[in-house]
Amino acid sequence: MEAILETRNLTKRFGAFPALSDVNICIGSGRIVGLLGANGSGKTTLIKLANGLLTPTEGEILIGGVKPGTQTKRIVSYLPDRTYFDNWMKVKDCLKLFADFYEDFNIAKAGDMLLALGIDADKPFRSLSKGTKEKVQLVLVMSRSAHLYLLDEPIGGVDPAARDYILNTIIRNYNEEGTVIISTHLIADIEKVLDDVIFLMNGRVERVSSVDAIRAASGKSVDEVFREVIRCEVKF
Amino acid sequence: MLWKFTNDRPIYLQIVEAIQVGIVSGFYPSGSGVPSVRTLALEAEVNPNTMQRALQELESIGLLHTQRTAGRTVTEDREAIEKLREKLAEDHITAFFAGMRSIGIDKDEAVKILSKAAKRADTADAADAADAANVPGIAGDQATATVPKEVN
Amino acid sequence: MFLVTWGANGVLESGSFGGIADTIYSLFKGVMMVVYIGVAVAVVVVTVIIIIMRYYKMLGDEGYLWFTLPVTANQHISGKLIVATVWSIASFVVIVLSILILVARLGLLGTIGDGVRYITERGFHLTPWIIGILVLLLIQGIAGILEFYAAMSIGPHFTKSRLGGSVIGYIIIYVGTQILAAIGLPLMTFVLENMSSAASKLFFGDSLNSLEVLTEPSIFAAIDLIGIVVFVYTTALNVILCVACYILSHQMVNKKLNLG
Repeated sequence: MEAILETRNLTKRFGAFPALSDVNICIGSGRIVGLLGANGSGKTTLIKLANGLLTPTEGEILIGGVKPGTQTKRIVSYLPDRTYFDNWMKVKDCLKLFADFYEDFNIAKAGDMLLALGIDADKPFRSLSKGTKEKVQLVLVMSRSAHLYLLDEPIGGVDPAARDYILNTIIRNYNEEGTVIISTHLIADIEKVLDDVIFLMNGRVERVSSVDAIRAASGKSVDEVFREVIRCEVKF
Repeated sequence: MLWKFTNDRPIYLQIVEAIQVGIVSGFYPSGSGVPSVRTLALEAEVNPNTMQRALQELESIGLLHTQRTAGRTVTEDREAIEKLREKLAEDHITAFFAGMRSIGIDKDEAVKILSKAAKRADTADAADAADAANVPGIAGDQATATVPKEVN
Repeated sequence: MFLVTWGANGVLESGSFGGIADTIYSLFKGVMMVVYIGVAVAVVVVTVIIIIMRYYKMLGDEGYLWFTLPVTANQHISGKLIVATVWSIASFVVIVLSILILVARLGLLGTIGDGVRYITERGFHLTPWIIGILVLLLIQGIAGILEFYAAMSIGPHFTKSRLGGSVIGYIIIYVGTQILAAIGLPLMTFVLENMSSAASKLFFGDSLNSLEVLTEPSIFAAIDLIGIVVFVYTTALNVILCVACYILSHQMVNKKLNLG
């Protein structure tokens, strides 16, 4: 089973600042993985590297064995931590855009999801609240049949009901060929959905493990273990 | 089926226990079919891989069987189910005695208190007792009503 | 929006004809003239702004959308370039047409027609000149657009502020083009001065159209010669700039994209 995402000695510096240092990870298909870390630990940087929005300073990152490029973008579905649609676009225009550019986009499914969330597709983007904008972007991302879903803080600024809906959607969309990587610092909410977790701290991989292993070994939730890990760092 | 998990133990173990209770209580009757992994995962709001692992665990201890065409079914081995019920009951009892001991009540005293409480409970609502133990099978209607936010 | 400005132009033109010696009307005409020029300038400015903003936004937050689509850098740049060019051509046509209408209303068409006939009879090759100028403007325009793009693509790499970097980048590129153009002046003069009849015939033998430069020693022949040299040099320069800027933009976007 070829890894859907693999990094080798991946390093990214912004000027002198090392956002990621010597990251070596290998993620297979059909997993739901949590990319956990405090703000500024390098999570978003890693995701943007996987998308081709950033280029590595050293080392390499491979999506399905290939460097990020036009080919990999076909099989990657990305939910960024910001809104990226021009405000004058209508929601249904956004759907059409995705349908035009992505072969694996299921416009009917997207329509259903918008309906379920009570979002009017005729409205222009700028008239939506921040939470609604994020939901629209999530709908678009999850209506694709991608091999790799990269969700950057999907439940960050969202109310609890929407949070449940989002997690539910992630579970429902799960398929054996697709891997979902969820980057977040709100671990407690999504623990039960994750197979594995990757702890990032100061741009380095602190730990890679399955959720079950962590809980079985420590008798604690991943959230608690993570807090301890951070506390240890801080002491030094 | 009401799924409640704590975060400090592996979820698949908790699922195994919950389903065991479900089997013993008759929510998943002997010989009946079990919903698919995906359906259960969605219901429990857990990772399908985790649910799969739990179901496989139950298979390996013989409580579930996989039929090639019909998916998974609960075992028809009633003896096995009875044994399970006894084991679960013993677990409860062990926990009870441990709890009593922790507040300074020894085994004999605990048994006396228990008999008195049992007589009182006979006059109380049986459903309340079932709820307290979270046995979903008896409160069947409650289970269907709490099928969570499923989008049709 | 484009149609609105066109309409405004049309309306303004109709207000600029006639020569009634009425003070108020003269005032009105004067104001109309100012407004007309204002609108013309606005059309140009708005076009340039649109061209720049579309590309600039692509390198901003919107980039999160564009650059995660399975689209090559080439497609992105050339797509924007083509649209920008169309906008530019459209604006140009609007302004030219409005000028023509203005001229027509003022009754000057006849005069211009006479002038054209006069010089073409004297050996002035109007058609190749017009074609030449149009081609020149087109390539110059495309080069200008690509210069903007290149500036926006490389500028931010050296500074923290995307806007500041783009501006600096453009200044650098602009200065560069000006230097190259300045070199051109003495270069072209040199070429012209040292043209011997034979060399000219050889060089320009198969350019634009049949230019009987040597058999007609008239002033228009000289003008033609100058025109051709300027055209060739400027176009060549612009083409090189186009290619350079395009490649620059492409490389930055393809290999060194760093989206904030």
